[in-house]
Amino acid sequence: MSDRSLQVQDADRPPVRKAVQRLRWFHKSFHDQVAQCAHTTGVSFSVDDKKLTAGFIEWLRAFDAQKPHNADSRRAYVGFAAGLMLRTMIRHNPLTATGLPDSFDAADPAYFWPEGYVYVTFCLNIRAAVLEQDFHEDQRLAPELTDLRSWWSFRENIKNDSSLAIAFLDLFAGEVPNWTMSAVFQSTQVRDALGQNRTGSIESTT
Amino acid sequence: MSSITQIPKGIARDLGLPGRDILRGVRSTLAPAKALLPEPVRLVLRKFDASITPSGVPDSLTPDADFFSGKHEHTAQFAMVAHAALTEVLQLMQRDHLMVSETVLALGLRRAALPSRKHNCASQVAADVAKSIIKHHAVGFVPGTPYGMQQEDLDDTSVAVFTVLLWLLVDRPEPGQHEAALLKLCHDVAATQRADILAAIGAHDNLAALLDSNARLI
Repeated sequence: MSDRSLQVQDADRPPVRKAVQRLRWFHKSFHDQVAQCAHTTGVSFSVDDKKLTAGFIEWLRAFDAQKPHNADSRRAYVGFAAGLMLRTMIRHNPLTATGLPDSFDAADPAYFWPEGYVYVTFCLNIRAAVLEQDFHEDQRLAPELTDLRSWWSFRENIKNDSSLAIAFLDLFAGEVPNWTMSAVFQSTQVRDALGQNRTGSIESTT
Repeated sequence: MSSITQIPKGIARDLGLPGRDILRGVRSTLAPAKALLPEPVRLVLRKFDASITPSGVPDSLTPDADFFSGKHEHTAQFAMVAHAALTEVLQLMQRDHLMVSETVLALGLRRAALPSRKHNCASQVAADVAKSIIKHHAVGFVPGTPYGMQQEDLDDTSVAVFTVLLWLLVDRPEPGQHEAALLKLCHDVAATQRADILAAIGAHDNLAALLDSNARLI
């Protein structure tokens, strides 16, 4: 994943958490991400900018709707907001893979579902940039991110409930997924009180 | 006809806003018959088009508060820029059969500018200007032709005017902003919020708020 990462940090720019709420930054960053993934995988893509814009606006509304006022919840909301972004990307699907390279590893998620792979990479990269800038924290990536079975489950489950994309992004990022109420933000305190831990599995959602 | 093709661009400019609108009206009237004409005549018409059609939105633009002030020198600039932008947006909306009047755009701005001086917020002024442009029918069919504006035409016009005012309101922190790309982005944003725009178009404060919130997110 690291060789396909997005360079979203620049000391002269506003922080990523602010920049990502501007459409021009979002568009440019997504196009950069697509170009990087195309370069490293050999997959060709086309981007529908109208769908990308519609997705951005939907994401921003969803982001504002559940934004917590409590400063203690900011760290948890970074992951949730990235998940919301993945959900809107999947719903609006602005990307189309138009060609695969002559030879590729079919067990690599980047070829199993090229569009989904770009969406996940983009959302994880933004999440990582915010965590590093605002919380001086490195993002931990889980082994599921490169496991084809997880990707198969991911792709199947979101057909019935696109909000599960939020839980799957948590899974890929090594966090505790909320499989039952994925679309509802729960602060760290609430999740601790509910006793949620990483015992849930993706098999339980299939 | 050959004398028409020899009109230099400078003369059309010297005729002023109404002169350019008259020529656009002639072009618009001839447009439906264009496909039936032989190629040499179509070539003449294309040259005629080029003499009155702006080359598109400017490469760089730095609209400030004076842009909406209604002062004479800014009115002409506003009308020229807004005409080019509205023409571009109507093409994006595949509504380029509608004609945009540079004269009415200028009049719309002048009429909106005076009452707008009570506002100190750019989006409030822009909302006044948008309402005035729509009210004075800056976009429509050529007078005297057997066409009338249908509800869909009126709605598309409102969305197009919103798009252009939104584009003018967006901040431009970096020089070298690609104005045509920015205008297309504003068009995509407006397209996703068509229902909200049409609901707000009659209510000044709602329209100003919608312009402001969208300008901030772009």
